[in-house]
Amino acid sequence: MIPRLQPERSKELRRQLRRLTYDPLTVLGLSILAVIVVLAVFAPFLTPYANQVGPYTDFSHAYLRPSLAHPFGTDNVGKDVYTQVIFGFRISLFVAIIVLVGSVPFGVVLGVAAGYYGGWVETIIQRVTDVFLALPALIFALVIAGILGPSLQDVIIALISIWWNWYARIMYTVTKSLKNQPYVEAARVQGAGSLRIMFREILPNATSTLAVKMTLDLGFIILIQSGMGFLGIGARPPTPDLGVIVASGTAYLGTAWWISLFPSLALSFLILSFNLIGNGVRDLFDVKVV
Amino acid sequence: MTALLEVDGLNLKIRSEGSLLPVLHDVTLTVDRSEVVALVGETGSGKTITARTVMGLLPKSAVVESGRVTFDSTNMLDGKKASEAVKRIAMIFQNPMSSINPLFKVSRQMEDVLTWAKGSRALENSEKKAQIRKALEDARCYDNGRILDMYPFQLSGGMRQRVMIAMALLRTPELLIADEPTTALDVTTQREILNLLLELSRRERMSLILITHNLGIAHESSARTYVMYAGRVVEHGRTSEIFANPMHPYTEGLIESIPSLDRSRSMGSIQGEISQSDRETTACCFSSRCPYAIARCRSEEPKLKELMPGQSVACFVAEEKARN
Amino acid sequence: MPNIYEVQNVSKLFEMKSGFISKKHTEIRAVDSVSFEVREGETFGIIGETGSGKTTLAKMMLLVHRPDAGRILFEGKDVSEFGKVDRRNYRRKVQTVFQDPTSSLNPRHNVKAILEAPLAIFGLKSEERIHQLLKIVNLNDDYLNRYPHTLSGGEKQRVAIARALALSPDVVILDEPTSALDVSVQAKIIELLKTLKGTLNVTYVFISHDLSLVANFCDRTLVMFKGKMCEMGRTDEIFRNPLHPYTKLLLSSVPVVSESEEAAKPKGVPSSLLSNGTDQSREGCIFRDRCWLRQETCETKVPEFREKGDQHWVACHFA
Repeated sequence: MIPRLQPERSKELRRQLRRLTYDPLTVLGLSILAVIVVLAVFAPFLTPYANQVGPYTDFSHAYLRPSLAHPFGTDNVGKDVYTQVIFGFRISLFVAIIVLVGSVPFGVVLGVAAGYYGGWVETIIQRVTDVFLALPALIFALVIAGILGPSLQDVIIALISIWWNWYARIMYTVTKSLKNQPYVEAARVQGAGSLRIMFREILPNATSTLAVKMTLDLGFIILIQSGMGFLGIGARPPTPDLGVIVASGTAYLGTAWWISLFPSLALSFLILSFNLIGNGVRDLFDVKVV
Repeated sequence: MTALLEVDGLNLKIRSEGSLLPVLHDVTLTVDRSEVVALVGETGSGKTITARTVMGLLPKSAVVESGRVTFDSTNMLDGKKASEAVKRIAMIFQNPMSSINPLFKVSRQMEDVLTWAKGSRALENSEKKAQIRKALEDARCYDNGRILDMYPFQLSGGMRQRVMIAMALLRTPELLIADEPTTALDVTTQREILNLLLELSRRERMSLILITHNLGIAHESSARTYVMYAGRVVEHGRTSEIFANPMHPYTEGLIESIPSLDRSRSMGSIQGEISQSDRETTACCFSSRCPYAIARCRSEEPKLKELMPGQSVACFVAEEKARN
Repeated sequence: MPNIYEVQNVSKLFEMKSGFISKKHTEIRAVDSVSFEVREGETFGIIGETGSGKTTLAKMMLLVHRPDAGRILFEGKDVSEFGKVDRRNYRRKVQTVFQDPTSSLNPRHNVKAILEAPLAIFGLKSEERIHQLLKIVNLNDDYLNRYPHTLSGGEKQRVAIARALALSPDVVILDEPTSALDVSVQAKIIELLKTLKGTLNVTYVFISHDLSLVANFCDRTLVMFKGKMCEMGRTDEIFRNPLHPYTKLLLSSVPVVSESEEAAKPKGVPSSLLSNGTDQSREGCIFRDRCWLRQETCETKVPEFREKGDQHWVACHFA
C-alpha cells in the first residue's frame, strides 16, 4: 500500500497545474497556443499591414516572395500574407469558441436529461441525436451552407446544429453510468430533487471528459470551418479565413507557393496545439490521479 | 534445519514524485516447511508489499535498499536466479474477481496456468486435464465439469476463491501466500475456505503465509504470527502466546479493538491514527499513539528482541517490564 | 416504548432475465414475508450474509424500493401512502450511512459541499451547523476544504456520519458502516456512534454480517437467510442461546481471538458444510440445503416464525 500524501485544495491545485508542465508535449501545445492567441488578440498591433484586412487590392505588390518586409510574401491581390494569416487565426478561434458556446450547454443539458429520466425523454433525444450523428459533419455542414447560402455565419449555425449532438451523446452515456452510483443514491435518500442530482451530483463528475472533448473539438471545428472556407462555401474572400487564403493560392502552387503554404502551416500548428493539450487537460481535471 | 523462506532486514522504499517514501523498515520473517504463519496488520502496515517482494511482484517504483530474501537458499531479490524458484511459490489474492481474468472460461485459465508453470510441451492434453480436475477437487470445487465451462462472473464469491486456490495448486507449490483470501467473503464461506487452506497445508505439506487484518483468522489458523505496523514488524512469536499475552502496545490495543463474541472484552480503541511521520520516524513508530510511551520511545528506535523463548517484540516498555 | 417502525409481512421480488434467446425469467425473492418492529431509541440489528435480503430491506425502509407485498409503517403511517410532503418529512427524519465511504461521497465535492447538501435541500444552510457537525464527529475545521480522495477510510466515514446527522434525524439506518474499515478504525467509529446515540437520542437500525460487532452494539437482533427471518430477539439472548441452526452455524464460523469466546460458541455444528447454489423453491424450509438437522418435514412445510422464549422468535421445526 503506497503511502498517501494529503494536500489541501490550493496546494492541490498548484500541484496539478505543475503536473501539467511535466509532460513535454502538453507544454509544447500550450506554448504554441499561447503564441497564437496572443497574436490573434493583439492582431491589429502586431501586424504591419492591418489596414489591408477587408477589401483591398494593390496589384503592384502582388506575388512578392517572402522577404523581411513581407515574411510570408504577398498574395494574388497584393495583401501581406502574414497579416492575413494572423487575422485568420482570429476568425478560427472565434468560430471555434462560438460553436462550443452554442452547442455545449444545450447538448449537455439534453444529454443529462435523457440519461437521467429515461423513458420517452430518452427515446426522443436519442433518436434525434442518432439522425444527426449518422451524417458526417462536413457533409451536413455543406448541406446547410447550401441551403442558407455561403457565409461565415451559416458555417457557425451549421456547426452548432451538428455539434450539440456529440455532447448530448457523451453526457447521456456518462449520466447513465453514474446515476446508480452510491453517492447519487445518497443524495436521493437525502431528499434531493432530480435537478439537483443531475447538475450538482452527476455533471461535476463529467468535467474531465468534457474538458478533453472540448479541447480536441476546438481543433476539429477549426479544421471543418477552414475546410469549408477552402471550398468556398463558408467564409468568402475578402474575409481572411485561413481556408480562404489557402484556396486563393492553389492556382499558384508551383510559382507563388507561399500563398497556400503559410496558412496551411498555421492551421496545422493551431490544430496540433489543441491535440497536444488534450491529454494534459484530462490529467488536470482528473481529481483522483495521484 | 534451515527455514524455507527467510526475509532478513528488508528495507524498501517507493519512488513517488521525486522523493523516496519509506514503506518497509528492517522487516524480518521466517517460514519453516509445512508451517502456517500469519502476517497481521492493518492498511498500510506493509504486509502485502512484503509478500510481493518475495514473489518479485513489486512496482517499478520500488527500491530495495537493503536486506535479504531467501527461498530455499535462492536469493529472491535477484530476478534471474529467482525466476525458477518463484515457480515453487503460489499466491492468491483478496478479490478473486479482479485477479481472475473475466474474459476467459475457467478451463482456459487453468490451462494457461499449467502451461506457464510446467512448460507447454511438458504435458500431454489428457495429463493436463487430469491435473486440472485434481486441483479442482482438492480445492473442493465439486461439479467441476460444470465449473470448467463457466466464466468467472457466473461463479459465487466462495467458488471463485476456490478456483483461485485450485489454480495455485496446479503449480504444486511448496509455499502458498494467501493475501486476505477471505476478506470479501461471507462468514460461513470464510470458514470453509480457511479450513480448506489449512487442510491443504497439512496434506500437501505446503507452507502457508496468511496475510490478514482479521486477528481471529490469525488466531485460529496459524502456529506463529507476525504483527506489522507502519512497515515494521513490531511483535512476533507463537500465536497462542501472542493473543494470550500481547507484549507490544499496538498488539494489545488491536486485540482490545475487536468486539468479542461473548462480550467478555469491552471494546477499547487506539487513540489517534497512523500518519506519514510514523512511517518515517527514527524513533518508535507507535509512540505517537501509545498509552505507555516513555521519553526513550520518542527518541530511539526499539529493535526486535526475544524477551521470552520464541516471542520477540520491539518495544522499550515491554523490555522494562520483562526485566522486572 | 412506542414502535417507530412496524414492518408487516413485507416481500420484495426481483425478476432476473437469463439467456439471450430463451428469455427465461427467474423470480428472486429478495425479501420474503418479513415482519418486525423497531422501538424508539433502540439499536436494532439485522444480521445476514450475501443474499439474505438485508440490504433490500434497508432500501425499502429508505423508500428506494417499494414492497411487493406487506407494508412498512413509520410512526404508525404506511410509507407507500406518503405524498410529496410526507416524503420530504420522512427524509428529514430518516437518514442513512452506507457501507463504502469511498463511493458514497461525491468525489467532486469537498467536505463543506457534502455537509451543505442536505441542509441546502431543506433551505437550512448554516455555517454554524456545519462547524457543529464536524465537531460532533471529532474532525476539525481544516477538513472543510478537503476532497474525499485525500481522506482516510475512517475520516470519510465520519464525514458520512456527519452528513447523516445534518438534519437531526430520528432514525439512522447504518448499512455495514464499518465493513470497509480497519479494526482499530472500526472501534473508533463504533465508539462515536455509541456516544452520538447517547447525546442525540436517535434510533439505529444496524445492518451487518459481523456477529461480534452486533453482539456488542445492538439491543435486539434479527437473523435473516435468503430473504426469510430465521431468529429474532434480544441480542444477548440470541447469542447465548441460539435456537436456529443457521444462527448456530454463523456463531460457530466466526474466527475469534480468545479461549473464552471459543468456549462460548454453540456446540454440535458440523465442521464441513458446503455452501450450495441457490434454489428457491417455495416449499419447505429455506435453510434445508445447508442444515444438518434436515428431516422430511423440512422439505415440505415452511416453518412458522414463533415465539419460543421471552421475545425470542425462531422459524425452525426443531427449535
